Amino acid sequence: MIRVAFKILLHDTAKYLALVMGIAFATLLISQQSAIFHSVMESSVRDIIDVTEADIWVMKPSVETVDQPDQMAELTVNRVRSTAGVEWAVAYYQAVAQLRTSTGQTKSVSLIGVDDSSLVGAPPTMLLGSLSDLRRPDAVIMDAAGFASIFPGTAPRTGDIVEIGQRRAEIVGISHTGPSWTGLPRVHTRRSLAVEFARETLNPVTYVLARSARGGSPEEVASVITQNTGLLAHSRAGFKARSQEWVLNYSGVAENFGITILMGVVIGVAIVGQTFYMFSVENLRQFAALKAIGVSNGRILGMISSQALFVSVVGYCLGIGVASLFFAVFSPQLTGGLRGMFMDPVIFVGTGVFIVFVTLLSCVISVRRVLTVDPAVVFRS
Amino acid sequence: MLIKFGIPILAAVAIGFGAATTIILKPEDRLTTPPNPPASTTLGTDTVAGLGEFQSPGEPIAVGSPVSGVVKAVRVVTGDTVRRGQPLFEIDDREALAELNLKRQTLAAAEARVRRLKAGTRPEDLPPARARVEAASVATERTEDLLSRAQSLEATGAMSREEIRIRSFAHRVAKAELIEAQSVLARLEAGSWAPDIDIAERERDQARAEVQQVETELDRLVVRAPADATVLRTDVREGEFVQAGESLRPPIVLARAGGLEVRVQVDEEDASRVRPGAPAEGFVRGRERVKVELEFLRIEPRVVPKTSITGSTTERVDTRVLFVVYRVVGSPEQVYVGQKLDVFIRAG
Repeated sequence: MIRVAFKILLHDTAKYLALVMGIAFATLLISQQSAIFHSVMESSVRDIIDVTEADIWVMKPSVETVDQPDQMAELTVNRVRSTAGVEWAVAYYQAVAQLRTSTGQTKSVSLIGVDDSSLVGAPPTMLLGSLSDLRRPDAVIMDAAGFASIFPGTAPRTGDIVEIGQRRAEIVGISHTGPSWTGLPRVHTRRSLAVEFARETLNPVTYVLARSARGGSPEEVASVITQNTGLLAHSRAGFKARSQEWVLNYSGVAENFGITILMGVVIGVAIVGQTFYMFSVENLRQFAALKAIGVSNGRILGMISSQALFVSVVGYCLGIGVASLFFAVFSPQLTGGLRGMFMDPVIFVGTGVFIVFVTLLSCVISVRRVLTVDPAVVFRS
Repeated sequence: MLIKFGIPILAAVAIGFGAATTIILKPEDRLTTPPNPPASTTLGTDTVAGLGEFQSPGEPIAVGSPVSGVVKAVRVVTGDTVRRGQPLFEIDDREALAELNLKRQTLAAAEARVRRLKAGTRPEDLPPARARVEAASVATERTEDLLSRAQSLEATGAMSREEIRIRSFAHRVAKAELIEAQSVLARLEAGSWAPDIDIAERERDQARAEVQQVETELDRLVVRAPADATVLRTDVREGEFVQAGESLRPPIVLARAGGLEVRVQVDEEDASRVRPGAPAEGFVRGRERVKVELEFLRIEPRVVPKTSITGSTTERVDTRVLFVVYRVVGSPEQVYVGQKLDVFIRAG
């Protein structure tokens, strides 16, 4: 009987293709938009993602999102260091500073000051130069995308001298990282230098980065720090979640992507449902004939379900393949807003489950006519 | 045929590609270990962390100059080890030398005066004086003789009363002249008068004291090390003018000899957790994280506004700190005064 079902399905090539393509398109829309949404949300906490050494972030209680820090006194580091369960703690500083090239062009850059001696907070991926070059005088590391925006048409290279905050800076390394929420070029340097680049009069830190002692949970240590110091401490994951929550609350990004993803779902359901309905209706005579020769309704439902399953799986595979092709092409780029975008495996699998579920549901709805068809219809006309 | 098998095969290829891409592109989200991990304590879980700085025992000595003047010579360079009393630099001494010369001449004159007084009468003065006594004595004898002869004739009336009186007066004058000559001789024979010698000696002593005063002033022009020490900084060169008194830019800074100390800044919030005698350890900042053993010295019993110890002269105050001072145990190599270190103090 399954063979018969496939014969019916493949009999009309155009309709078969329309079904597969419709499902593939819906898959593409849903998976790609979800993945981009997820990637953009990851970009909004780029600073947290790029610090791979620390699992605790300590800040002023007023901080809501990683991009809007409040300054603290330098000695705060020692207060965090004094807390039980903290393996180590270092200072971290961010600011927006003015960069000026030798040709006089100015640009705002996102300045990141990492701990002077341990370099905790330094960029995780280096394209040119090495992290130890940061110890040289006036040394900064710039990300490849930022370099391309400041020096258009120039291949990434080291050795350029720029001015940041009217102070000499030498680009000693090129790093690579995904896009950030602000889109500003990212400049990493030692904190002592960063404070000067940002023309600070005090010697502030914006975050204290800490690592929980082996065996301790970062969440527990963070709550101890919060209790003991009167500051606010989050685990890495907790701070990511809090920052992303803030972004979702104060920007339209969730609604924007939500609508697109919903459209994908609606279009998917509509195409699949409608095509299937038409398909079933047009094959009504065949099903009626089957019923006439005594095939039960259950059998027919099984046949139609297997058709739907087959079509949805094939369509999903094609759709997810195209979506992956998109990421495979754009993600490895060094510059551009799509660099570093990726599809989370949850989205990859989840889209499949959703598409198959929706297709089966719509086929069940559209199959009602087949089940109620009178076998006599075969003999009419 | 193409549709029948082509599409499922294409779908299989697509899902395989998709799965591979998803796995490859997914960023790794894993905690990494920093290449040069920050210092962490070995003193247990309950510690107070502070920022420390190496310092010489006590405080650095900013050596000043007692007098203003142009520098004549600098005797040390940065890094020298000096003994107590060793000259550090000298100030132009020409004026003082000239004055010393003058005072020495005055002293010499005073001394000469004393010598002359002590030497007494010139021997050449005595014979004339004796001769004068002899002459006066002879004259007295003669007038006495004349008088006595006249007196013997008085009764006879051979000589007038007036003549006798004249001879009597002449004899008295001669006697008085003899006494004068005798007393002149006696003074010459006695030599100098003791009070005169005393005055001259005092004048000499005064001149000597003045010489010593100028010598002291000369000595003050040489600035010396107040203690055994190492020269931390020399900020003075020959020909420069140094001001007496306190200076923002001391000419020479010394570090007292002896083991290094570590001055630890503890946030006022943590101040109550530091107990006197609490064990501590430090980690020198930098590429090689040298561990330094510390021994408690003292807690400075006041909380002061924190000054940034970045070495800048402009003070940056952002919080208040307690200072705890530790002594460095042993002599770790390649650590210097002013170097910073992360210190952990056992709390409770």
